[in-house]
Amino acid sequence: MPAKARLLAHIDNAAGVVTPVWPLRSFIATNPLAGFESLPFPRAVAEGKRRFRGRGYPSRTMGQQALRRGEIDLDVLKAALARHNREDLYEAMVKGPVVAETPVPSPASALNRLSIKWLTAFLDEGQSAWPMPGREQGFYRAWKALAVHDGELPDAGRLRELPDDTMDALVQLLRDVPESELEELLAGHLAALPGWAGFIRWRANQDHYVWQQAHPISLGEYLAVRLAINWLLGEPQSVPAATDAEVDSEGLIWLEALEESYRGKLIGELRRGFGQPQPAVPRAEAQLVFCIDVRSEVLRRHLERSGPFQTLGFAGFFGIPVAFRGFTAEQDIASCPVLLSPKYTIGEQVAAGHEHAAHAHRQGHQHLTGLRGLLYALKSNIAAPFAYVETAGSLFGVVMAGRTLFPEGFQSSLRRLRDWLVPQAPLEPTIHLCGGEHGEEDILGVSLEEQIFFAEAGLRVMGLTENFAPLVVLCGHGGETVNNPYAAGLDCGACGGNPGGPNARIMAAIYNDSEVRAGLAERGIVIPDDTRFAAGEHNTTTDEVRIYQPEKLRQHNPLLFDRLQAGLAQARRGATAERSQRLPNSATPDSVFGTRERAADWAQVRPEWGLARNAAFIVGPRDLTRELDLQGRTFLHSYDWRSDPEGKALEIILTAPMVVAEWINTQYYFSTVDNGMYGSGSKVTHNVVGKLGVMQGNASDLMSGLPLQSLMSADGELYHQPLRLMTVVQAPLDRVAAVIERNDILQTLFNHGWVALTVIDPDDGRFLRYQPGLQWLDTAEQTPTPVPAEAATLVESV
Amino acid sequence: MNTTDNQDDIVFHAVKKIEIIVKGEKTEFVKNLLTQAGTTGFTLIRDIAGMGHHGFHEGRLLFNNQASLVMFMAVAPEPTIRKVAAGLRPLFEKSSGVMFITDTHVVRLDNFVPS
Repeated sequence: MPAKARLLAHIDNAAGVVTPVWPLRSFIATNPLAGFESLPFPRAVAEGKRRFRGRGYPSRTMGQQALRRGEIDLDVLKAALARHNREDLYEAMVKGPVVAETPVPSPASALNRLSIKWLTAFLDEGQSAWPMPGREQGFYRAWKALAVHDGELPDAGRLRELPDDTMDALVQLLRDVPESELEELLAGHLAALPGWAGFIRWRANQDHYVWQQAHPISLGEYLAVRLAINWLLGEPQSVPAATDAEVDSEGLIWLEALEESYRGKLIGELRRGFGQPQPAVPRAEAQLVFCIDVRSEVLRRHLERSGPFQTLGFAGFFGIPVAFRGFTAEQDIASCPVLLSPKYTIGEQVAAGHEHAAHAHRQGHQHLTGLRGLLYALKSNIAAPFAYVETAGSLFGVVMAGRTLFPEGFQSSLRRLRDWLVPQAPLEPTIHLCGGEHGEEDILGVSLEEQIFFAEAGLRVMGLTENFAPLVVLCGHGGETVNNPYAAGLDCGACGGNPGGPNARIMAAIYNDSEVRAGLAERGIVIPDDTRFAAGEHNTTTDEVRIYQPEKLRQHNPLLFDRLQAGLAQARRGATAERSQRLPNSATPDSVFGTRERAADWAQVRPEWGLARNAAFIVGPRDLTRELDLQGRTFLHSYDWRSDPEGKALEIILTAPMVVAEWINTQYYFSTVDNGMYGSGSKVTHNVVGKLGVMQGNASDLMSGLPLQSLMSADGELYHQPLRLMTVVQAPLDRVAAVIERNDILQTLFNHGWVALTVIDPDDGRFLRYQPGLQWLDTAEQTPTPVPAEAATLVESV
Repeated sequence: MNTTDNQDDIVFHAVKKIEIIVKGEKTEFVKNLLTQAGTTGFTLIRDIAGMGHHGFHEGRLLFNNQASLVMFMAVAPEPTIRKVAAGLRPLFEKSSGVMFITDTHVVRLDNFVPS
């Protein structure tokens, strides 16, 4: 066993080269080079090139395009060239020819092709009508039982020589490999198909995932199968050749020029706004708390200009790590960032007096589910397709014509039909502790003490501890799209790739509870009696904000409710008009209709831009940014240093929401600079596999990044600007420094150049740029060095 | 195995205890290792604080389980604990963490030996 125990650890170490990949239905953004974040950025990029042949910097085409559009300031580019002593590159970079960059995909090797074939069969999550047998034994055993019949495997009968136990088989297959070379060998095999390996890495850690419970798989099992195929193919069990990394000075200079051009402007605008006397703001009529997501910024700006409304930014799960069990849902949904595991399960119950409506809702849902199941069975049953097409084909023809010719009208009709079949019923989250339907250990709800704890934490983190408006609306968010495997990518990342409405409803109910308010008052936060919390959901595709249970709010304060609805409608018009200018093919005078049509169009590859062009994360009071047009490029987290003397709230913001923002930013970055390797290629050739992800064609790696159409506005026209995140924090310098000092994760991100940091010290108004090793540079005095000195030296020596 | 009798008729069976402190993101690996090595159970304490090579580590990051520290405690006969320790050594060459192994005693030995 010691050999097997060590092997387990070697596998875990080797697994660091691949980033976990979530199933597409929750589409969690991750850094494809997360395993190399402990290295300075240039070295990590070089590792990515060595391991995956991935490009890690903007190309010359991208750079020249940015230059033409004015996104790169020529002086900034010259400064970057001078900093790297590469002025010799100027002519070539600015005026030189562009090298053709269309990558030619290499055909999959026999080892990869066979691995993919068996992985797609084993990992299938209900797409296949004829599933692979024996999967309950685990991947290696199930494969071994069937692979002896695989004609593509030479001399497959030899598999009987291998032990049945996965670890015993691995020990046997690796017996000739010296232990010192083991991790490199295993890492090479995992990096050969990083999408599939990343998915297994994710799934193996999900004890409660229903498919993992039914059909267990681990990286050890995958490696056993892969090494066994390799053995049958007669390949040596040695380290696969990795290409040598070349230094890409030009790419690094383009990146720095892009970053500094943007950052310089942003800091300039913040500097101009900072310290300006703020006009006295009367008590806002409503405060609306949106997710920090960059898409909220546009709507927030328009909403603030439409009436006496104040907006705040907070992670869209509103601070409560829950699994949500919808009234008719078959499974609980983990509605919190993936950095957390849900601590509570919250169900839904019928609002008092609406039992009849709830019964009709449940019955309608059952009928609809049954109908869907029947259609699927008819479609996939070997005996039924011809009769099915004969009888129902014309109906589907009408549906197809409707969807194609009148997408918006058709979708609205469909929605009305669904509402008729499944009538809506007033439902409320079950906040207080109670038993669930699945046995003794199924407990729903949160204890009063914990409700108070999360209520206080949420308010303190966003700095909302006084001056409450009569109405506070917590707005989750979600996207709207049809026929789109990437739909979850438009939902809330802070809610694990789900719409954020349930969390908003849960927290609004907690904040309205009189006992919770009494507890908060004991802790120094007094919510006035006339303040009411409500929940809403921001549809980021159409910019509609839907308020939950509006009739309650209208009864409570009809005048205020009407004013808020009017403000939201005006903000929607403004926000959709602004966003439509940035969306291709959106030439309609009615931007509200235009965005609704995009949401309903089943052929639309860009229902919205998602988080494209994200570039900065700003932590501070809204006063800092209220007058600025940040163009939907910044994550905005509300924070008030005055109510956080120990920096606890700041620590939470930097160690969680900022980390998630960095994942999103790096995913966009790498998907843009090398869409084939780190992105997921064109949607045109996507092939949904196993209901869990997409492949390009019928045998590719599991594509894990963003599709081409989410990043480019047309062939060869970049929409997303590939640059790394800059965090701006308004707080006393020593407090920020103390937070960084006590958190490895922050030192890693800031010291290694994954995230840049600027601190605005409210005590003296200085704008200080972070330098590796907790050094600070006053940006008013000197030009900052964008790349850590250590990293700049290293890139030359790679 | 050493045993110690006393007048209460309680037998103290000598076994080994291992305490393992790792980052939250390694939780699943350690669980798996303990199971594979043959321990019959373990105790897991989340959100612990302490001082190590990387300075003082705060116990609680409210919204991030993966970066916080966790501690495992497991008790088993020495050969089992040796397997666990052998599996942890290569891990600690790449990522931070510590393990402590101590002599301890249990009364109900059956609970700590795989059936």
